[in-house]
Amino acid sequence: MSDGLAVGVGAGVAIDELERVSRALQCAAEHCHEIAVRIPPLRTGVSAGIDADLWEVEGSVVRSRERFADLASALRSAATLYDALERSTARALESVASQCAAAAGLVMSRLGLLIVPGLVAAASGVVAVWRLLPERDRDSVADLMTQALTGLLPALREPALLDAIRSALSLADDAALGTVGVPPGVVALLGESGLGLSGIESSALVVAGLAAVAGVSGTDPVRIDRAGTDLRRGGDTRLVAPPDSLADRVGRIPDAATPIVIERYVLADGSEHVEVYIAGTDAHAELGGEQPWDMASNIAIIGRSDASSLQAVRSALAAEGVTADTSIVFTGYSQGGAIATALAESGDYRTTGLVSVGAPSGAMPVRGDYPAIVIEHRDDLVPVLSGIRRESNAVIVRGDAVSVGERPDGPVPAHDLARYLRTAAQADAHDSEALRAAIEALPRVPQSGVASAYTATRIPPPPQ
Amino acid sequence: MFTPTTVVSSAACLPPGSGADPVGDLQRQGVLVGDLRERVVAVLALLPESRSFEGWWGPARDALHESLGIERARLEREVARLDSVRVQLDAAASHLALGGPG
Repeated sequence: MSDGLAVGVGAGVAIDELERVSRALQCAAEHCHEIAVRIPPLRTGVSAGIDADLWEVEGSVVRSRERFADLASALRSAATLYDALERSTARALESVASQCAAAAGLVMSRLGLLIVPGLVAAASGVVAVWRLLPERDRDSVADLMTQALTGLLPALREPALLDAIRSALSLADDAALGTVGVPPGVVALLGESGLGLSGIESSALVVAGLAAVAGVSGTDPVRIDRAGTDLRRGGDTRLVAPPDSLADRVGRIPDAATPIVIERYVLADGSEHVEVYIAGTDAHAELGGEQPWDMASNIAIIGRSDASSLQAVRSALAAEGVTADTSIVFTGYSQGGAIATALAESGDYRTTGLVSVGAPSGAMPVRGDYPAIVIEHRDDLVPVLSGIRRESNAVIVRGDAVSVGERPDGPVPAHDLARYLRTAAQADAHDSEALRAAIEALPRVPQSGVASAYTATRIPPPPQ
Repeated sequence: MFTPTTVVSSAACLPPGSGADPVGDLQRQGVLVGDLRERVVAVLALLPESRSFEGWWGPARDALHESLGIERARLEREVARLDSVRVQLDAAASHLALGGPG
């Protein structure tokens, strides 16, 4: 057991823990049985006191055996019931929350009509006062506001608040439907807990649409180039040893400057195998600019659109000769994890594994017949942005990135790739049966292969 | 995986109490009791720590924690009892070997 890690299959994460405790108790019961059967031959009659002591030991061990077996059985039953109950309760709660959000949206839209004129007047007043302030005072106010916002950042690492944000984002589409006058009952029927016709992806599509109207598109075409100095041969390749653990895979994820790394291997049966590593979002990228690993692509991916970064990975795989028959393991971090999930589930590739870390991919179902491992930090804001986790066969590993009392740097420290690398190493050492089975099921590559890295550039649309 | 820390020799695994060699019998019995003690200690090590099921189990978790506490205390008591039996057997064997009454 690694400290602080929780492992589960699908949306629930506690079931695996219940089963683990149950197995440990069953094992203790079996060992107590082995001890109990060894005691009677030791009562030889040499000393009545010793025989009485051994009698007492036997009785105690037998009682402990029965107790451990009962507890193990109760825990197994509880795990089964808990799993079923958790799913049905979550669905019922979501339906009620969906109706509440729609009703709140309806009320707020009507209220908004009344208070918007007042809000506009107040905002105009603030702008006027700001303009009247001398330059030095404006800087002071700006500094104060920055300090106040920085002071709020630690709160964004609170798992309870992050869970609330996750739920609120999942309900945003319901509130929006309520705002335009759709009755709450119909909203619940259309949402994720009903027919699944609306969801966080529709909210993301609306945001993407508004961004497109403002001239920012996350779905513009891209150009890819193999990275390296040997440009006459189309870039460099290098020899690489096959990945042998989760941490090894996570450690190979590139940065956003060369966001795609593809490793090609030959499996024991002579068939080709590919490992692809996909970078996370470039935090400094201009929205809708040349760097496709930007927020515009992020929103497009959550909206299930053909994001520029997604197109880049597809093109790189095509350039490496990957076909629908090539065995392929996708590994990605943050936006790269969402791309990895989308491609693994696309049906266009023979996916043989998926490893995603810190990805906003909760709204993307993972249903394929391949080992899938999702690593998330409970205190990371980014996985929360895709809303409540949906149907998933993936093994979900959740850990804490920032320890109690630690004062980390940066706005979202729990999203650091270095911290995810540490969690991946803990996951490698974890004794969860489901996790061990998923790691073991990833393809075994017998020999070294070659790796190529790719850069990607978004091609802006021609001027109108 | 369960692995007792005491290595039991093949001689010690002969059934005690055959009567031909009372000192050897007592010594063998002492070794077997020591092995049992190690096995009980190994069971104690198998029991999950309460921190490993913290945070989601509520009142049932507390009941589980309490039950495991009772069983842990019971087995710890038996470890002490087996220690005492081992000491008694060793003392009896020494006494016999020195020619004392059986």
